[in-house]
Amino acid sequence: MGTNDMIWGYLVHLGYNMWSDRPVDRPNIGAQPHIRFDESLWNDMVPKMHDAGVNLVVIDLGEAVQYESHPEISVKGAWSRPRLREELGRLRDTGIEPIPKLNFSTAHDTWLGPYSRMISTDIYYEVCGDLIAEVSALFDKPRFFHLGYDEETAGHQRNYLYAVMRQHELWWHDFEFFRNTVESHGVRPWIWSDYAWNHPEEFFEKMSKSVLQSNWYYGDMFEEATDEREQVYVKTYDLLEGHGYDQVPTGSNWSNTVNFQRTVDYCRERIAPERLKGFLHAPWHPTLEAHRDAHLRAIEEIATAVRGW
Amino acid sequence: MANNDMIWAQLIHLGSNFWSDRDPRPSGWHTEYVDAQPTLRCEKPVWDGLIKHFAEVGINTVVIDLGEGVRYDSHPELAIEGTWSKADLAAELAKMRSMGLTPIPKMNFSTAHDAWLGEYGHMIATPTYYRVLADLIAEAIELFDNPALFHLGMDEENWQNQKHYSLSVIRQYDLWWHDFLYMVEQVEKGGARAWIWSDYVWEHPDMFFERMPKSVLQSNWYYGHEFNNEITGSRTYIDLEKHGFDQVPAGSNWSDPYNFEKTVHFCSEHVAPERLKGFLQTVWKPTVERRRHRHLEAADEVGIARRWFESR
Repeated sequence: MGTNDMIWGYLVHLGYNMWSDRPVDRPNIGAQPHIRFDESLWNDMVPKMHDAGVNLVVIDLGEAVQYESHPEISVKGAWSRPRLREELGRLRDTGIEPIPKLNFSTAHDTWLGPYSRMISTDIYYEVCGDLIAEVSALFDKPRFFHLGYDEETAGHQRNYLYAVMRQHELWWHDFEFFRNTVESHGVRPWIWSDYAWNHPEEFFEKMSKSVLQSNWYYGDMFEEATDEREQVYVKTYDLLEGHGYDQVPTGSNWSNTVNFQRTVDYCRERIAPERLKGFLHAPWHPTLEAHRDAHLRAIEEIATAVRGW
Repeated sequence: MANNDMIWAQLIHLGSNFWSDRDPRPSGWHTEYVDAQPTLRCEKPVWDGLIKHFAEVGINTVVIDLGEGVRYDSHPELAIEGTWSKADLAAELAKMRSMGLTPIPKMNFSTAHDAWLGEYGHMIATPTYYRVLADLIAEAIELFDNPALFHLGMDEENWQNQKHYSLSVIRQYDLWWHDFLYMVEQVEKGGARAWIWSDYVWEHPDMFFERMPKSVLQSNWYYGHEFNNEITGSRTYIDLEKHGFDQVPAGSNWSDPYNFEKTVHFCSEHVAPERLKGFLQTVWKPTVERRRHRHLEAADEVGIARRWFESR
């Protein structure tokens, strides 16, 4: 696979109500009734991403779109469908492929509003099905649809008002619902792979190969990691490869400035070219001017990695 | 308080779908009867025998955990195979009263114990949930002819107690209080006094003592053998007393056959008579023949403890 076929992806947040349903000490983590997206920053990012070699942007939509099927979940300032379509067209014109992301992990679904308290009910399945259908159409049948599905644990929801976890067979039941729904639109599902960290046996027994995997690890130690948990996170790249999954390994400048390049180096050595579909950079900062520096530095990190590739 | 005013209660299960919404054995939880079933696990001959025995040993109050055991007019969709009709239960309540037993309704709205709520257990803290909850409380109060007390459960709402379930739900911070106070409001609207398990205080003492209304009757529970200030479960009786709450301490033969007696001894010493409203014995087994002896021995413990208490 040549460089041109590789995904050099960037995760951007249009919506940001993906964490706590109550105010918490950390800035921006509490959900807000209005959009948090500075177009001035975004408009500067797009050409820089292009110049850096970014060829795919995963857009975390959340509460920031006025969905036709469920307008009740959009917040003040949410983009209209034409506005989003216009932006998707602009991205494509720039040579960047837009990919939708709706995170259906219960740890990251505050954006779903009332439906986040109706997990695994008939209403929930109906709403999620509606949203996937609508977004797939809005993105003109994208190649991929990122479902999130990470960190659905009590620990990750310890600061929320409402913590809910699907467990055992139910996690898989619902995941299969999402996979089948996305695939029914001719789109390939894409998820964060961290469920494998704590449930490796069932993950590798039940996870369909049709699902694109993004394991993620944001530390600075790879082969040399001594922390037992860090070893699990890193080794998951190897396990996914060993089990023959397609991967888009994900790095970040969330904790340090070396992770993305090291993720690229580590995975290039260990994942067969036919299964290494690319890399994704996930800064996890809101698209707000206050976080301009982190975004621009993340884009620079991708540029460096692309040049080195 | 005269001895005759003291509550000497035993908890009996009409419904039993209060734990796992799945068979938890594959994930390592092998305790019997904890998985929800589509058929009622309450055998009438056992029930009849226990009620008779309760009256004989000196029990004067029976807390009935209703769950899926009653076909509610407001929500018949919660009924399972074998669920009692309201008329059947009303007849049992009348029989209990004729035997000197006061029946008290219990509906456990803790998310750790609400498998009996069916799909509504997946809609916690939604408008639908609040409506269902209010409907059920009102209907139970009417069915029990305006009982003095209404047990709301509300225990063990944490992940540890739901780790084997398909769906684990935890209300936290203000939401726990919002929902709890809503339940209390529904109970008090019906003229009854709300009664709960007090274990929320174990992990949240400051919040509990700041926000828990004194109008709510407290049943701390501790089922161990040793009682001292180092053990949270037993120390909580003293903490509740220090903060002036009315209590009905709860014991059990779950893990120690002498726990109930020890609970009575300990709390008689540490809780002022005016706030010690009685004691509650729990077995935590369904009302089935296979576990009849556990209920009987538990009731016998109440009789022994009551005799000791009244002979002081």
